[in-house]
Amino acid sequence: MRAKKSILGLSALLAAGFATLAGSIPAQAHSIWFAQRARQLALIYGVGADDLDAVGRMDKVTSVAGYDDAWQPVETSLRASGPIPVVDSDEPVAVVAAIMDYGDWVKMPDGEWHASTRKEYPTAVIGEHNYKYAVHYSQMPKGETPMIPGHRLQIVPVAGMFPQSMGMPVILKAYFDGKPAAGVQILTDYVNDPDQTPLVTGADGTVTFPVRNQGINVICAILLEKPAGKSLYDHFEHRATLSFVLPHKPE
Amino acid sequence: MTRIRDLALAFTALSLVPTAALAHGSMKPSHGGVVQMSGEIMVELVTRPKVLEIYVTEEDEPIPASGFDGALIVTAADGAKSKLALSPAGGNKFTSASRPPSGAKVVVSLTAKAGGAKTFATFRMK
Repeated sequence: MRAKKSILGLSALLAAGFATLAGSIPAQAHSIWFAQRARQLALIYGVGADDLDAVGRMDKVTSVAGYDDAWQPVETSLRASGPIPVVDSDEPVAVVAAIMDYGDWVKMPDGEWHASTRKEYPTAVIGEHNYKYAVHYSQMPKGETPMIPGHRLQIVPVAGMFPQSMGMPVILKAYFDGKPAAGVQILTDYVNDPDQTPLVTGADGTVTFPVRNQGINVICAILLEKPAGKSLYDHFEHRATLSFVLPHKPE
Repeated sequence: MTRIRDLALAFTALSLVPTAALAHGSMKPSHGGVVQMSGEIMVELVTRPKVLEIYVTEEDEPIPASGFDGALIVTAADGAKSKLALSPAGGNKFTSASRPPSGAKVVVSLTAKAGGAKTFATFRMK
């Protein structure tokens, strides 16, 4: 099932100063998400099955937040445990969230990327600043889903629900700066199918698709924000994942 | 909107992964208490007049309590939170410093001394 593309929504999107590259995924395709590793919840940095060095990038994590089953904050942090960063809290967390500021990047005509700006590389063909966000639900808390501080792009399950079986439709809404965001690219199975043609959120910010996995689902949203006025950047790339697990049958 | 509402009504709320279904070994209490699974670790809580006893096993094997730093996170009925010490008491047994009040939510928090992995189990005091 594909999301309906709305001309009206696209117009509103452009008027709002956003730019998306429909049908194409930016080359800086790495995201962050949470997944279980050895019973602990770990922060993953990578794309598809590439589970890259997240511990080495922990200094780029600017925020970690945890919430209990009533959306009350729980003191939460990341701790390096061998080669993976794991979530550390004194209590169980129903939802955990993180932000990574991945900094400035330029793409050169030869295709190489450098962690820099057009100031140092004036011949760059792309100049961008990357922000990565991750939200994981271990449990659906009671009450209205809040906008998590600092998560400028956030994917929210509509009606505060997920289906319990793969193949059933899930309705998600993308928010940018707290407002429903049209034209956001949505990858419905970021771990197992990272190269898929993205869906696009409609005029009301929602997208509907069948849940792909009876296991972990990592949904990835991508929005390119145009800077105001003259800038070293072509865009600010915002990448937000939403992850949740559908339970398997009893053994 | 109607379609969205209808779809939403067809869903059920996401619950925690039913860890009990994943367990290997007995999920029955061995000391007359109540049990919760956390992954494949079974946590049994036994209410005594003045303290709580906690027992931990994995796939029927007792896990030495001395391998953990333990605590109870207690949320009283009025929402007030407090932390109680949980001390190893031989074998796979811990005892709490005191007994939480009726109606409180009690989170057993165990941190493995080797590696720091956390295990949580949540109970409600009767």
